[in-house]
Amino acid sequence: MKLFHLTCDTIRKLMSQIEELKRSPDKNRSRIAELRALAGLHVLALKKINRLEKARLKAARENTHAAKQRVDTFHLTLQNLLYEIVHVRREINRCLEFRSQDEDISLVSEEEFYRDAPEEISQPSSTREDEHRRHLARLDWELEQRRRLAADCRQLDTDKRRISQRIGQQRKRLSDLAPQLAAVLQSTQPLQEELSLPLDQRRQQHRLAALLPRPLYLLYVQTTAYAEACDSSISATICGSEEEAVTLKMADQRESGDESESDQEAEDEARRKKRHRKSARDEEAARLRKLLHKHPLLVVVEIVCKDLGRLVLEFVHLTQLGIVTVSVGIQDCAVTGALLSAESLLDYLEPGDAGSDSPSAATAHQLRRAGLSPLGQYITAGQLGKPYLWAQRLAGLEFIAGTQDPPAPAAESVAALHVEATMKQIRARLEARVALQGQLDAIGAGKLPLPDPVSAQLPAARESRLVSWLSISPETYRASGVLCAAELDDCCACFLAKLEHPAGLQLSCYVALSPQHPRVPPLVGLKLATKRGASSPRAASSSALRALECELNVSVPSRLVGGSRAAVLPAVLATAATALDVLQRTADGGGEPTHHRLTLRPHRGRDRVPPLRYDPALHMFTHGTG
Amino acid sequence: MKKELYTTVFCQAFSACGGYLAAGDGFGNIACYDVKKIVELSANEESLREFRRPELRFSTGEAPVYALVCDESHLIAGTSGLIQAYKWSDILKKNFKMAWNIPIESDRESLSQPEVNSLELHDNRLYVGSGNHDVQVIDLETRIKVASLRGHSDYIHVVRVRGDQCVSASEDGSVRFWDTRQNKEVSKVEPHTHSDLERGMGKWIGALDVTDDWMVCGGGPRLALWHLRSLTQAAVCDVPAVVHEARFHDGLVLAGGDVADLHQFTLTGERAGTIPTDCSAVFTVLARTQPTKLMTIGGCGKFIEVCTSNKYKDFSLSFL
Repeated sequence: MKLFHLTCDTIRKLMSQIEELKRSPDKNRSRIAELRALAGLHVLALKKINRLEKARLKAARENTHAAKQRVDTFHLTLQNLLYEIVHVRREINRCLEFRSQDEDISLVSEEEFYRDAPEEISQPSSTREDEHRRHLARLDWELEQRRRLAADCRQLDTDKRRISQRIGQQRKRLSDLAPQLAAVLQSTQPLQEELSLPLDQRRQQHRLAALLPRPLYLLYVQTTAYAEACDSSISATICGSEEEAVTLKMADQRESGDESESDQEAEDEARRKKRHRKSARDEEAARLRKLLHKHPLLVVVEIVCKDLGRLVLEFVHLTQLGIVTVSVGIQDCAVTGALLSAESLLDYLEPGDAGSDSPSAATAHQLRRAGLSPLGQYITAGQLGKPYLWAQRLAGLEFIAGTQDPPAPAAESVAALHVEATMKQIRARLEARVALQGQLDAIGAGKLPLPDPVSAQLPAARESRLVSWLSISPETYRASGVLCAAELDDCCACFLAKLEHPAGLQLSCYVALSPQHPRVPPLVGLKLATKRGASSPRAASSSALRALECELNVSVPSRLVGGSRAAVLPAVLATAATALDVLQRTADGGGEPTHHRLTLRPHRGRDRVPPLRYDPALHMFTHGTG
Repeated sequence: MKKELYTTVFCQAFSACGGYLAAGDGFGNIACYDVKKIVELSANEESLREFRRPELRFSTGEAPVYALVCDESHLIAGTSGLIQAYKWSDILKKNFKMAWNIPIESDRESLSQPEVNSLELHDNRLYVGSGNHDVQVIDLETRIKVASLRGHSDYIHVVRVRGDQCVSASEDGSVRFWDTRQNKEVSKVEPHTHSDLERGMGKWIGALDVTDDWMVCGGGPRLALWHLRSLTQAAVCDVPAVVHEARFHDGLVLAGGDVADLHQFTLTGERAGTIPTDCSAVFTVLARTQPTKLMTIGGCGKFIEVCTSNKYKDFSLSFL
């Protein structure tokens, strides 16, 4: 380096000398040439230095290159090692994190394992200490258990397949059988008819019975049971449209199944309906039809009363209102009259049971909410039968008067109690009405038909006669002012009978016949008058009339026993006639002809009542008690 | 229920202490009321409308009870063929068993037993007017008939006793006076023979009452006042129909019959007032002034009218 600089400096000096010499060019040419040679030498030295430099540079370069290379290799190895470290670390981690599948398997607990596993698997001696071994043993046990269960499972699968195959076969056999059975049934038809065993009919009725609503079902069952057990002249059949009943039943089942859907449907329907604008009358008719909807099946009960005819009762169930209505029909009855009209025949079978309104308190509310008139209107218009209370009881529906609760669902116990009683009442009602109609006809013709035991109780000859028999209204009865008018019920049929004694006394009897005649005796009110023109004694005192009224209303019916109870009306009228004879004889001012004494004591007691009770043994009238 | 429409109250009697009222009807029932409560009712304005029911009610049989009378401890009722007596102490304890009874037999061949129409207590003797034609006198201690007053020709309606005189009215139209010591008929009166009394409703006398000087009687004939000593007719009381009951009370004559009102007359025969009732005929009137003023009226109907003054009806008791 120094050499270089030295050389360069020398050159420079030379150069500068040269330059200086150059300024004076002639003198120094030799010097210049020397200097030039020197300079050339120096340049050569320079070249040599340069060459040396270059060589030196090259060597240094090679050195650094070699060092660099060494460094690179070290670097590479370092990197490799680092990578390896990373790998290995990763491997280590992976190994550490390695969870073998066996840890996922839930094994039975150790106690159970030691308990259950057989010796060769568990090997408790070696496994108790060594955890790994224990684990292995447990895994073994697990494997064995699973193998066993898999085998069982396969076995059960095969069994199942076999059995379902068998079921399929049997089903097929059954379905093949069905038409064959039907064919057999068909062929037994003529045989049934020969033997008069209505098996087919009965089966059909049973099938229909399954479609009946519950109240009618109870009614049908109880009536048929009663008919079979006690009374063969009663029969119950189911009539009506089977298809409609089936659709109704399915609709009911669908409704009760999913209610949320039906709500949706109802909304849709409502929306749809609003779009159709029907007239008010149509809407009302639609509401009416919906509310008074009758179940398509009805039960027809036929009661045959010997010699009197047949009663046909049709029981219909109104599904929305929840009550049962009855339509009555009378057939083959020889007697006709106002008392035997089918609509009113079974009214008031019990006191208060007019059948003119619904027994359920809820019906009024339902009708009012739908904007319709009360039920009674539809009943009198003939659109519905009559909802008698006894019909509700027969159908197992018990309505407690006055409560707002919905009626209790039909109960069998309620129906069973009442069948016999109701049938007897209905029969008795028909008999009583026929008898009464006959009596009324006879009385209207002027005769008093008395059965023998009753006429034996009365004197043979009567002077008083029945001169008129008219039908009157309850208002007229009340207006007459007789004592017992206060007891009159508006459902009674009222009549006015006039009895007359030839000597002048006239007795007006106001008779009220209850629908429950003859169980409820007639209500008789009396008024006494003197026939105009006849020279008759003073009319009898009011006490005598009171006593006679009491006798006719209370004593006469209570003295009739057994079969003659039905003849209470003519008995009452006949007693009144004989009593009129007595009144005539015992009236003050008149005398009793001694040759024909009817009484021992014309008056008795402080109220001076005449003897009104006839004693047939003595052929005389006595004062009754005492 | 129907039978009760025809209830007729025929007789009433106050108990000896004055605390109870007993009434008998035509079906053999006797009803007892507590008089103190009755008087309280009349004072209380609100309960004036209530129909008080009897405290006690029992039956003596089927036959009507036409006569009632009370002695110190017994209620004596006349029914058909029997005079029944009940102890008041028993009745109040609701023990309705008869204490004793006296049978009344018919005095001629009759097929029914005679009814007892009137009972009067005097001097420990019971005077019985019945369906027989005689008045029977029965000693209460021995309960044996001691005398029989014969003379009537038909059954007896009413018997009254005053001092030593017994007066009886009968269906035969005569009122006879008897001496109780000698048991003999003293005199008789026949109102129907008097032209101003006879009115064509019969000759029977059903109503009779006597004071020391006066007698009032009527029935078919008009109700009339008679002077006892002279046995002359003094005045006529005009009741529009036949008369069943007449009483002297507080200077007035109370009369009831087959009309719905109770008529009141002075002792001169002038009308003093009428009290309308709910009964269609009046059969019994009972009145007293001690300890409280009270008048009860019974007849055809189930009500007994109660009046605390002579002027008007206060309220009704129900027999049922």
